[in-house]
Amino acid sequence: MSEKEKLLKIQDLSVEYDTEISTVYAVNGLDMELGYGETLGLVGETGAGKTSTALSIIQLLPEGIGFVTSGSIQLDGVDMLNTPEETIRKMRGSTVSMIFQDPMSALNPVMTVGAQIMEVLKIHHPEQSRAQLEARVDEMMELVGIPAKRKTEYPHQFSGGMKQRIVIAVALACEPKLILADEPTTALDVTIQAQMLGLINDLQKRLNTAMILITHDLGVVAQTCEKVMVMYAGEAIEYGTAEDIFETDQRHPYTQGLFNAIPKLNEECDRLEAIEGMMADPTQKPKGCRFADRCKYATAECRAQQPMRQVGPTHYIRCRLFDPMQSAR
Amino acid sequence: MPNLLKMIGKRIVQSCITILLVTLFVFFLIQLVPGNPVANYLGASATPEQIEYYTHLYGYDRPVIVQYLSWIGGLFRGTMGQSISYQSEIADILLPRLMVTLSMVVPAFIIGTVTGVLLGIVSALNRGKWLDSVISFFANIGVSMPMFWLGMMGMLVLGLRLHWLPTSGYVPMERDFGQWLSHMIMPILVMSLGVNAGFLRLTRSSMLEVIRQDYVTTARAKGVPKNAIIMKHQLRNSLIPIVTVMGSRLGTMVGSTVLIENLFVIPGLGSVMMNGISSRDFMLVANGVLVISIFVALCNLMVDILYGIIDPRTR
Amino acid sequence: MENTKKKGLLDRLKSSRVLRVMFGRKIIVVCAVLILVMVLVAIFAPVIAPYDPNKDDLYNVLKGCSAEHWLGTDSNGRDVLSRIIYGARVSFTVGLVAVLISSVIGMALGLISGVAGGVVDSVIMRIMDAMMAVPMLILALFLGAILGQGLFNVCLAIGISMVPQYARITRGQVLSVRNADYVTAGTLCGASRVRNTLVHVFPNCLSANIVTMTASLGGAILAEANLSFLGMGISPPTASWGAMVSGGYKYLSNQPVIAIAPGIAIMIVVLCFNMCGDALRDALDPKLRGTLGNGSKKRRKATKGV
Repeated sequence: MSEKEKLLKIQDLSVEYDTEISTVYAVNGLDMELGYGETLGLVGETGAGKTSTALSIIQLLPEGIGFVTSGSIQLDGVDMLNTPEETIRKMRGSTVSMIFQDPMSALNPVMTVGAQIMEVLKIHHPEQSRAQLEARVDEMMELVGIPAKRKTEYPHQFSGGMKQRIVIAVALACEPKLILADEPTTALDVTIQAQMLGLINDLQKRLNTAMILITHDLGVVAQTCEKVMVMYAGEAIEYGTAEDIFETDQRHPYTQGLFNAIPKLNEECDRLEAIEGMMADPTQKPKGCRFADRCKYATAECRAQQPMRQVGPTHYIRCRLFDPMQSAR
Repeated sequence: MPNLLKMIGKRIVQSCITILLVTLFVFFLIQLVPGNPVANYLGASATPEQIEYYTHLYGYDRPVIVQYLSWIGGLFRGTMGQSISYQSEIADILLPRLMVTLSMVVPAFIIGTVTGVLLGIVSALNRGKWLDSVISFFANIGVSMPMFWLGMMGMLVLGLRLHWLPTSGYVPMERDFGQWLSHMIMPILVMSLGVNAGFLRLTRSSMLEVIRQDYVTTARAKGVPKNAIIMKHQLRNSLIPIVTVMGSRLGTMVGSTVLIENLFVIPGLGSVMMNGISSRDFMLVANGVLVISIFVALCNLMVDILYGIIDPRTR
Repeated sequence: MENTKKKGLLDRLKSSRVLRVMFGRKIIVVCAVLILVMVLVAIFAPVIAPYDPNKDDLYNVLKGCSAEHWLGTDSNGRDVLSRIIYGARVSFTVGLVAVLISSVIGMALGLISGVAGGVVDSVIMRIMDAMMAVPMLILALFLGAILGQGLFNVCLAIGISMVPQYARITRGQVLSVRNADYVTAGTLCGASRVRNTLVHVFPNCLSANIVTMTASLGGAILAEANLSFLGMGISPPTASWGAMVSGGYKYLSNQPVIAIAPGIAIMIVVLCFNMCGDALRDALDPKLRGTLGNGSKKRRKATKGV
C-alpha cells in the first residue's frame, strides 16, 4: 500500500494539558494509520488519551489548556498541525466530523434541530439554494429515522436516543471522509445503543466514510470495527485487526485483563476478574511499560522503554513477553 | 404559545401572592414601632387632646386588623391612606415621585445594561489578554464602590471643579427639558455605572460558562466560523442567566435611588421615603416599600415573558 | 513531636487544591493580606490611631493634610485618619455579625424548608419571595428605621435583609442532595430524619453557603456604609465610613479629602472581600476544575513547527 492511499496518518503524537496545578501527559508518542472507509476501534479506560487523540485530529483541544507538543497528523493529505486555522475550520464538518459522548448537551438548546443540521450544510455548501439545503435537511432527518416534519422542534423535545440521531445527522450531513465517534452510545440505553451502532455502521458503509470509534466496550468494537487499537495511559499498547485481537492467544496483559473483565454467559463464574491497581499517574512522563505496576508478569526489564513489537502480519503488541516476528516483507 | 400564556398566568397569580405577603410583612412590621404613630410624629410638645383628635382622624384607634383591611381595601380603590407628615393622600404623594424616579432609573438601566453586556462580551472574548484584565479590574472596582461616594466624586469633579454640570437639584422635564437633562446626566451616569459593572461581570462569566458547553464544541466541529459561533451559539445562551436577573437588578436600582436622590436632592420616591423615615411617618414608608415591590414584581413578569421568548425550554 | 505535627498541617494546607487554586493568583494573595492587615488595624485601633477619633478640637477645624494630621481634620477638628482607623471596627463588626445572623437564620430556614417540604416549604419560601421582592437596601432601611439606631440594630437590619439568599441557596442544595444515594442509604440504615439531615444533608450545603458568606461580607459592609450615609446607621459620634463621607459632603469644595478618604477605605475593603469571594467560588466550583489553564501561547507556537 502506498502512502497516498491512507486517509489518516499520525506519527509520534504527544498531547499535554496544562492545568492550574500540573501538566498532564495525555498522549505519548502515538502512531496511527487509517485507510479510506476503514473503521478503527479505539479502546481503553477513562483517561487513556482516546478523546485527546480524537480532539487533536480535528484540532479542537481545549484552547489554552491542551497542546500538541510533538508529532504530526496528516489527514487527507493535509498537515493538520501546520495549516492555517481557517483551512482547518473548513475541513471540520466536511472532511472530518465528530460525534460527542453526551447527546443531551451536544445540541444547542435554543436552536431548532433543523437549523442545526442546516447550519453545517450552509457553511460547507454556500452555493446551494435554500430549497436544496432544506431538502437535504429533510433527507438527513429521514436517513437517521426521524420524521422530517420534526425539524422545527427544539432539542429538549427529543429523547436521548433521538438527540443522538440528530447529532449523527449533523455529523454525516456533509458526507465527511472521517467520523470521530467519541463513545457515541455510552450515554444511551442498552437497547438504543445497538440501534445507534447499527445506524452509524450502516450510514458509514453507504457513504464510504472512515470512522474512529472511541469506546471502552469491547463488545461494541467486535460488532463494528475492522481494526482495533488498545490504548493505555496515553500509549498504544496493542494494535491489529479485529481478528488479531479477538481470536488469538497473543494479547497484551492489559488487553487480556479487559477480556477477563467481560462476564461470560457459558462459564460458571463467581466473581469477575478485575485489573488490580490504578491507572498510571498521568502527570508523570512514562518510563518503560506504564502497565508494569499492575502487571503480574512484570519484571525489572519492563522498566526500560518498550517498543511496539510485530507479532503477526497485522498485529502489534507493546510488551516484552512477545518476540518480534520476523518481518513478513 | 399556549404554554407560555399558561406560564404567564401562573406567574401573575404568584406575583399577587407575593405582593399580598409584602403588604402583610410591612404592615405588621410597622406595628412593632413602639408608641402611637401620631404621638411619635407630633413629638413631646403635643397635648393629649391633639393626639386623641388626630389618632381618631387617621383611624389609628381602630383594631389593627381593621386598619389593615381598610388599607388593603383602599389599595384596590387607588388610595393608600393619609400621610401624617404631609397631611394628604399617600398615593397622591408617591405616584408623581415614582415618575421622577423612573425617569432617572429607566434610562440608567438601559445604558448600564447595554454597555455592561457589550463590555462583558468583549472581556470574555479576550479572556486572559490585557483588555480583559483592564475591563475586569474596573468592573470589580465598580461593584465595590459605594454609589453615594461615586456620585460625590462626580459632583466634585464635574460640578465643582470643571463646572460642566450642576452639582445637584432637579428641574421638571416639562418645564425645561435641557435643564432637566443637565441635572439628570450625573445621577443617571452614576446609577448606570453600578448596573454596568454588575452586568459586565455576569455576562463575562456566563459567556465563559457557555464556551465550555458541549454544543459550542459541536459547533466548532461543524466548522462554524468563530464569529458565527459567538453570535448564534454563545450569545443567546449566555443571555439567559442575564435576563433572569434583570428584574431584580432593576429593583436594586430603584432601591439605590434612595442614596442618589438624597445626594443630588431629587424629589423622587427615595427622598420622600427618607422624609417619611425622619418624620417617623411609617405608613408613608410602608406604602413606598409596597410601590417598589409592585414595580419589581411587574419587572419580573416582563422578564418571564422575555425569558419565554429567548429560551424555548420554558415554552 | 510538636514540630512534625505542625509541618503535617502546613503540608496539608499546601496540598489543598482549593487553597492552591485560590491563592495561585497573586492578586488574591494581595487581597487576602490586605484584609488581614485591615482586620489587625481594626483590632489594634487604639494603639495605631494617632488621635482620639471622637475628640473635638475646635482650634483645628477643617485643616488640610499635614504632618500632624495626615488626612486632615473634619468640621469638629477630629483627625480623619484616626476616624477611618476606628471606622474599620464598625465596618468589620457589622459585616461579620450581619453575615452571621443572615447565614444562621437563612440556613436554618432553608434546611427546614427543604427537608420538611409541603406546606412548611411553601410558607417559608413565599415569605422569602416577599422579602426578595423588596430591594435589599430598602428592606434594610425599613427594618433599620423600625428597629432604631445602634450597632446591633444595624447588624440585625442588614442581617435580616440578607436572609432570603441563604434560605434559597440552602434549600436548593438540600433538594439536590435529598434524593442522593448516600442520603437514601442513611435512611435505609435507620438514621432518623434529624440525624440524616445534620450528618448527610447539611455538610453538603456548606460549601455553597461559605462562598455566599465570603461574597456577602463585602455586600454587608457596603450596606452599612449606605445606611450610615443616609443617617440610619450607627449613632454619632462613633466613626463610621459611610457617615464620614456624608459628613464631608458640605465641605466637598474646600476640603474634599474628608469625603474621599473614607470612600476609598470602603472601596478597598469591599473589593478585597469580593475578589476573595470570587476566587473561593471558582476554586470550589467543580465545573471549573482544570479549565484555569496557564494559557502558554508561546509553547504552542514553538511546537507548531515540529
